[in-house]
Amino acid sequence: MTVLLDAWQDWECPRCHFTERTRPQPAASSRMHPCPALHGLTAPLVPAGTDCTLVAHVREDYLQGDEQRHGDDGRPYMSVETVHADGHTDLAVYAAVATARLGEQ
Amino acid sequence: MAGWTDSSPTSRIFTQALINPILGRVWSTAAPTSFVNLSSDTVNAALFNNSVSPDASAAVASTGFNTGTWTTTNEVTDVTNWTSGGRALGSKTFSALTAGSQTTASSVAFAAANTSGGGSVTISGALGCMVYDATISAGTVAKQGLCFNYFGGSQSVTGGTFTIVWDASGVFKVTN
Repeated sequence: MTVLLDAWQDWECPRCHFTERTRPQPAASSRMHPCPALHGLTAPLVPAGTDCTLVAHVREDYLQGDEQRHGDDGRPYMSVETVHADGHTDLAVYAAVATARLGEQ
Repeated sequence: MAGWTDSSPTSRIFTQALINPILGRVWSTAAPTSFVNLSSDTVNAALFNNSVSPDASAAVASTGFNTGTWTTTNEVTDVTNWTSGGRALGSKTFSALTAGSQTTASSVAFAAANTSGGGSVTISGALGCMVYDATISAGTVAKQGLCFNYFGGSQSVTGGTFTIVWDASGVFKVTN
């Protein structure tokens, strides 16, 4: 007789406590969600039970015409950092969209 | 002077990439060698430090990976999981982002799934990335750059994951 094991992975957000259950994901894969506790930014989920917090970082430079991701507080953000209890960090970086314009806007 | 803020905007599509291959179908110019399309080609994102001086109007010979300002000496890598040449983009799409109207602008976007390293990485001083077609081997320039995207500041991580979250508008977009 073959026993079929049903595996899953639980995820959570340490800031807004959103939870999600998925099939096991590849190593270093990331799950994202729009986080109401981080100004609506797209923020990573962490495996349930992980001792960490999320920190959003405001863009350091002028926008200079870039279309950068903004939070619901109207500020441009460049990254969300996951700070783990053991000191190591994960980083989700918001790349501005590259643009070209045809005609006058 | 060098640095990402040499360019304004700081995230732009290369003009030479617009000429060929992005808008290349409108003219008799041959497509770059080995180029098929952005769907089937391998499109990579490579990380760079602040020693680059991005120029969307650069000559085509200076818009390839490891040419012009985009040399590997300015590249930011991890020993194992974000090596030289960068990471390939997955789940690519090319579609109308906003339909527009007779009086409002429309836009077309090239997008991709968020790009992560293959495991824990140690990255220091990455300020942006160059997105290039790694399948192009010659004709225009090998590994021709499509665009460059600024991160808004210096990004570093030690022994953790590093993920580029592409804008809701995509990797690049053309507005009309």
